[in-house]
Amino acid sequence: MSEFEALDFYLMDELLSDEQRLIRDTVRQFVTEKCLPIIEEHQAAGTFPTDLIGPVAELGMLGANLPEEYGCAGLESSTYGIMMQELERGDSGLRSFVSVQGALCMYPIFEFGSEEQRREWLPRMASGEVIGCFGLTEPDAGSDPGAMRTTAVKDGDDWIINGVKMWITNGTMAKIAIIWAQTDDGIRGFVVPTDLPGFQAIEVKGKYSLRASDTAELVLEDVCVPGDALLPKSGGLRSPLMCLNQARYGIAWGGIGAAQACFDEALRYAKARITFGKPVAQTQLVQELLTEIASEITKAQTLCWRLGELKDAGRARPEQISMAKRNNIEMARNTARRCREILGGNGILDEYQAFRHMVNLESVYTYEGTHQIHTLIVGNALTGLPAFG
Amino acid sequence: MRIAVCMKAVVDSQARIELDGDGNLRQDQLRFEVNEYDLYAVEEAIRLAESDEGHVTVISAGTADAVQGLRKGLAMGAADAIHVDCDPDDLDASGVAAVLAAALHDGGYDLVLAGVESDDLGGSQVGVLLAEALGYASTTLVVGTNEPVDGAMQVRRELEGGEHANVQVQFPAVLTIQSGINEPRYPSLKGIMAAKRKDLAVKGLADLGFDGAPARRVESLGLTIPPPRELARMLEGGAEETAAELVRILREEEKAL
Ligand SMILES: Cc1cc2nc3c(=O)[nH]c(=O)nc-3n(C[C@H](O)[C@H](O)[C@H](O)COP(=O)(O)OP(=O)(O)OC[C@H]3O[C@@H](n4cnc5c(N)ncnc54)[C@H](O)[C@@H]3O)c2cc1C
Repeated sequence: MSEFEALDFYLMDELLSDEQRLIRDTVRQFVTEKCLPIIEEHQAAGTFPTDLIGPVAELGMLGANLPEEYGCAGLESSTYGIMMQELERGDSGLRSFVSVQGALCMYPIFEFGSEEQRREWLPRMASGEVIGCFGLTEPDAGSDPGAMRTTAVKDGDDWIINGVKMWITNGTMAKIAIIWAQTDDGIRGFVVPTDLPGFQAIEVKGKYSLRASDTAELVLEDVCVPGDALLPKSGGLRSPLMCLNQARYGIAWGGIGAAQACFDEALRYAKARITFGKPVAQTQLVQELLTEIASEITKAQTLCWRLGELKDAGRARPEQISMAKRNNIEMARNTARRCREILGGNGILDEYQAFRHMVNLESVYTYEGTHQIHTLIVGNALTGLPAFG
Repeated sequence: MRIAVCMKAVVDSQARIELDGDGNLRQDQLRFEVNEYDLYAVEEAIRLAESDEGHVTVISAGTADAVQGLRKGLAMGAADAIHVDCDPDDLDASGVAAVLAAALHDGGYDLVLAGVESDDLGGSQVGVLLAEALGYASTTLVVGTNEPVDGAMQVRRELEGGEHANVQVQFPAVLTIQSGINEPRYPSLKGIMAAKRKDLAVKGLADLGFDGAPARRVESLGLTIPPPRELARMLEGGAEETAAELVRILREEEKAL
């Protein structure tokens, strides 16, 4: 098969700087050479491709938008987004790993941590030596994380943490968990080493989606952490939501990558597949599908580009990020499905990527704020009338 | 050790090649990428420099399209870069070599590495002509290098049948690097960002003492696209039938078996 070609109907390429183009090409090549050849096996086996952690870290993709003084690449937002887009062109599970490590674990340590905590953890997390996971969701608190029951109670200088976290990406392989818990001071974040007594990570079995990702339930029973495990600048639900904003931003870009992978595959297929004596691409119905998909991808690209500019200027509002996550993941989910359709029967095979992206995107549609929750966030911003409860 | 690596922007192998009526390439359709052989050369240079606290300079003669390749070389680990700003269409291989030689002449390089050939024109000439222009030793088709000893290096060359020859080459020398000698690293994101701050000198032909481009002695007259070959033959039927027919064709018609 010839090389992947990304749709660029509106010549977005011309907006990229030399560095951005080189980063895009590098991550694209990495995905083609290292991820795609092995990803279907991991999807089938339900395993995360741990062999990729080293190379991903070496390339500098973990916490890539954090400052260089902590061993990170110091990328600006658009460049970081482009990286995420390319990663998800490979697989949503791989992109999830990078999102969780960077946006949900390294970012809170950077944003809410002390200087000692930053120095202790960030360089080792950038190098992939320490993997993190982010424990916010609970069995009975998903869309409404404020309803969490996990508690952290002060015991002299220590904290005693009790609770159950559900759906935690990177959960079984993590060395540290960012655990969000109710305290006398409201919700706070803790850096919890996962080898402490009372800490258990149990793999979530039976997933149909995001199978090449490590998903776990975390059980914390009287886990005792020292006082300096608390992220001192965390306070209230706002703190974990700030992390989610970082991750959602990357996910919005990621959706473009997944859609691009499916579109490229479907377009090639449609041009090569002959029915009734001509390529299926030469039928009006398939051209309508392709046109719809290409239009949606192009809109998503322009949306992200502007969002990146706003974010770099420090002006991206949470509801703008919500709009992008909501729009782009719905777009990717629809795209994967339509592309699957264009592939006919072959579309259900693991020889093609569409089905894997299609099932993966079900998770992406639900996590990091479900589609509906983002609807309510945008709705709230538009009307000033919260409709969550 | 000071090493220079020559890098060329070549027509992207995925790009659509179209000719206008006069047999010229339609430039508007073209995209450029780094010549793949040159990436092996950059990687080899960086490895040699790493074990020797050496200094790697990447150099390219060409239009602005050459800059992207130089940035990649810098991101992979080269210390600085030279862009000789010129239109390569004005130059033949000896002209390119003359221009590169002028830029490298005073650099005090022990080694100059180049790809064996370019992916687009495939002339295999620039490395050797550059050695000539610089008055350096040269050896081609290098598939292995060693630590330098006393101003010389043993290198492995690939021979036609796949055998290897070990040769010793005196510095200063030009080596042309064969693909597969190493696995070129991905430039890291940090490396790419850091490359922005590295020195990329731009030199015009006048800066190098040329009065216009050195005259071409080999002139390109135009390109042609070969006529399409006979269509492939599709064999119909079940596996057994088609296999039998294939063997018959290979044996009787093509005399290949
Ligand atoms: C593969 C995977 C990985 C994940 N990784 C992590 C992780 O690393 N860390 C982490 O903390 N969490 C993680 N999550 C959890 C994820 O964020 C939650 O699943 C998500 O927030 C939804 O919560 P829930 O599953 O409890 O659904 P619920 O909140 O129970 O929602 C059920 C349905 O009701 C809808 N709904 C809920 N409230 C409203 C409302 N007010 N109005 C309209 N509709 C509403 C939802 O949109 C949804 O369709 C992960 C989830 C998955 C599937």
